[in-house]
Amino acid sequence: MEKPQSHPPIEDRLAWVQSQIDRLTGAISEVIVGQKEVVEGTLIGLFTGGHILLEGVPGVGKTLLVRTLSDALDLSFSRVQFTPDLMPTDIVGTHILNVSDEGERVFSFRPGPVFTHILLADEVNRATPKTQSALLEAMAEQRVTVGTETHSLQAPFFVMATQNPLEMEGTYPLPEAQLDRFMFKLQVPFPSRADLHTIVERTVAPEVVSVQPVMTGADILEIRRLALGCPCAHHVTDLAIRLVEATHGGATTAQKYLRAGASPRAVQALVVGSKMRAIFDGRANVSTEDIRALTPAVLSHRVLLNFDAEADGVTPHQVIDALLKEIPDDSKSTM
Amino acid sequence: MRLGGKQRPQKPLKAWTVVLSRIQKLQRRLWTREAGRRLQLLLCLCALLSGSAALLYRNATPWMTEALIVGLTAAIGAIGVLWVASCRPSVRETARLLDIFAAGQDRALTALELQSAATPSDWARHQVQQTAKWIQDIEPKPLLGLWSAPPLSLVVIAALSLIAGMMTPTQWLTNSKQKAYAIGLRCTALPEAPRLVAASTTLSIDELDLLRRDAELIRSIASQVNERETRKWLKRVQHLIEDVTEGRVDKRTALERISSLRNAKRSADSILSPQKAAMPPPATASKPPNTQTDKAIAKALSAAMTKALTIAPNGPARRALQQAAKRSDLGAMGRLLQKLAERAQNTMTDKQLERWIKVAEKYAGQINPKTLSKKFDGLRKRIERLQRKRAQQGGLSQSNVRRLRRSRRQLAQLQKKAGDLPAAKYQLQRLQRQAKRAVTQMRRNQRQASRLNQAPRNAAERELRRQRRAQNRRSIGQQLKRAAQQLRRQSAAQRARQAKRVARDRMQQLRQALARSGRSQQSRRDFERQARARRAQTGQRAKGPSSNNRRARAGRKGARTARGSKSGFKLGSTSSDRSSRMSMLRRAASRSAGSQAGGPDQSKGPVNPTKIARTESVAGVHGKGPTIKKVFTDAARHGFAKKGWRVVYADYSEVAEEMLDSESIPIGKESIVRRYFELIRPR
Repeated sequence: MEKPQSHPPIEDRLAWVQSQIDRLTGAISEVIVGQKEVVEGTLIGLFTGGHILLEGVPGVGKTLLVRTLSDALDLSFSRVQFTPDLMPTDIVGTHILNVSDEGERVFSFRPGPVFTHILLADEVNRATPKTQSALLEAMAEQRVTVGTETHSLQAPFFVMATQNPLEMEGTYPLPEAQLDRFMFKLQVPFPSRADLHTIVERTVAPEVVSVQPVMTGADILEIRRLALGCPCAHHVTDLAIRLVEATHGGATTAQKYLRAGASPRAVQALVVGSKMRAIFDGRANVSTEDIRALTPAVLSHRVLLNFDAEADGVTPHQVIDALLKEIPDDSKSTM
Repeated sequence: MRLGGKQRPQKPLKAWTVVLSRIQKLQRRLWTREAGRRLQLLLCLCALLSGSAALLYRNATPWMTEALIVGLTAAIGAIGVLWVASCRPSVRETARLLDIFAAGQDRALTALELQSAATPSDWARHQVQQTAKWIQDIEPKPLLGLWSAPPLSLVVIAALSLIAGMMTPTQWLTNSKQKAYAIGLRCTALPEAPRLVAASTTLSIDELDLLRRDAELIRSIASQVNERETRKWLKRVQHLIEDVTEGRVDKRTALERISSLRNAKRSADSILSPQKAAMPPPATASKPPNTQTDKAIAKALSAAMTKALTIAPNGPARRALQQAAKRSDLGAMGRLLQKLAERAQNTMTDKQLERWIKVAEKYAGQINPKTLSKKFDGLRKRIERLQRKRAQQGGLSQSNVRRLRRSRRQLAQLQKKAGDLPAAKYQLQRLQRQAKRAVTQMRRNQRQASRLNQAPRNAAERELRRQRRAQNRRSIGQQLKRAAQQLRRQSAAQRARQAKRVARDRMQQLRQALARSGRSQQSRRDFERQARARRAQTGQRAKGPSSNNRRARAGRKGARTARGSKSGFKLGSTSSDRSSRMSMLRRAASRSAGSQAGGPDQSKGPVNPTKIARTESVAGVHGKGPTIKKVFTDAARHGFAKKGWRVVYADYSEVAEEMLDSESIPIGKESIVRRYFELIRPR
């Protein structure tokens, strides 16, 4: 008979989570300058088991962020540069002919770069839809099927995909159904002047800053389990639902500018992400502020703009901001 | 719930008790604050309303009664109490406010929800404990804020309105423009005074003098009136006016007194005759009509006017006059006479009316006071004689007694007659005056009518003449216009005929010239050479594009060939006019050749000079002349444009789909192509 494990009290666990997070962000900030929202979003995605889509101009630190994260978490890291000639087997792996010890020729499976903890898929929109779907299957199901064999991926499995917003010529934009698998879409902004000064000081120097591991994969899974238990009040969940419903024509802006709204995955992403954010903040409950803070990242890539929005030059972020202003916190407010 | 193998006992959380008690405490404070604020607002509103009600009540507004004031007060009070009592916030709302004001990030609300669960989890316990710690550190005073009073302006307005309503001096009421004064005084029914007041719809403060004059007038009228009741009533009106001008009564009291005066007037209405307008001045109007005298006068009048009445126009007026005479209604007779006079103004002559007047005067002369006084004296003497006889003889015989009685009766009658004489005389004089007035009016009307009869006629004739003149002018103008148009047409036709004649003459000349030149011995080649030289001199080339030139040359070649094929004519004459004609001929030929598409038909032979086209410009006035407008709606009606675009789109989209399927477009560009066609599709 197994001895039941004794769990420390919640307060202690929360305190531990906070300390871990602080250490992790500290380690990351030694390499990454600024980008606090991006780092926070990335960590939330990582700890909740979601995947992140990063968008930004070249050279703002997307690859560096992922690499630093993998160094700080002591997790394996792979980087795949997506090109139009990339094949699905280049990602998931393939069978190759090998000679066994007995001298027999056998097919053995050579795993692809997807068999890692943290995968950076650079310029995922440059690959063909076939290759994209191979990666997305791995993201959704945490396993890969090659031929007749199914291979599970190690937990935690975290994908950070990037898209170059400038050169859209010859690209294959991810369709709506596949974009939905990414929990967040984070915009990596161009660094400010002060940040650029710091970047130059750090990078154009003989000393190379390296990051020591501060957490393990088991810690990530533990934090994930803890976050999922965080209580979320009914009115907070209701807000998340109302926001997603608003993208389906419930709000004036949505009716005018959106062709298609977000899926139920968006509600899940909002609630789970908010729980993690509350944990990061040291709170034992989710608040409407958490929901509102994460809504742009969760919904901006899940809605489709119509021709009117394109003609008016309206971006998804502007539509989401308008939705946030239209939808109140509590639908049953009496005073 | 099992946690780490140990079953934790289910007991209420202490922390939750703390949280709930704090929330409830805050709830009570919020309720108190809100109730106080609402109470303040209610008091301000009540002050405003009561001030207005007091003002209306003291102004004696008819609908502002005590019952209404009490009812309104009760209703407002009840609603106010309910409104104040209903502001209690719920526990959830209090928790929400606490989260908002203290930046609790939904701690309190979440704690409320978690505690309602049957078995709180570890998370729930932790959350509630966290909330309890947080809530204990909150200071509620800044949360509640200051006692939120209603705006100062509202309080000031309410206070001022209350003071104004309660403290308005009555002097204001006397000096204000109130219709009630006019209404009150109108009920006196006096001919002069009410008209003076009712002439203006409202009294001004400066009309106090007028009011005082009214009072004076009423006093003077009251002194003339003999009736005791009327004098008493007029005195009451006078007192009322004086009280109002002095400001001794307020509006409500004044109205009450006016209404009592009105009631008194109604009850005493039988004293005043309903036909006030027809009555004589008050001094004489109080005396009732004497029917005996009226009868006598009416009888005499009708007898005297019998002859005159036959001349009067037949009709209901005449019959009414006869009936009035029978009734001895002098007033009606006078009115009817006037009516008859007006009606008869066009048929009766002046002489006839004058005869009427003479008849009335004659009768008036018959009622001579001297005759009456003579009779009176005679009777008096007779009575005295009889009385002396009785005194002498100690009594009177039966016959003398009867004679005495008869004499006394006659005396009494005569006395009465004498007493009624002035009234009768007055009536007659009045009748006489009315008849005179009728005659004068009739004469005036006749003169006016004669003048008017002529004037309209003259005016009508003038108008007619003017219209005729205008019509004549218009018709003349139209005729001139038509004539001008005709002239223009004729001149154009004439010019055209002249031009034709000239052209014909020229053609004839040309034919003759050609015929003459055809008889000469000069060779055709020489002629052509000369013609070319002449053309080069004049610099006349065939106009039009190079193709036309080629066609012209082709035409000329064809003409030459045709001419060459026949025995043809030989051109020989070198005279200047003939050469000029020939060059003209060539020019025309080249022009006609150049203007044809593809050149002239060579098989048709040389160009017929009679069919040379001439261009002629005609000068005219811009804008003149007929215009024709025509709107072609066929294309729009049949939806030509829309249909065309849909057809085009359908065609090209099919082509694009085929191309997309054939994979000749890169995969990366397919979406762009699809999107493009999606965007340009017809809607």
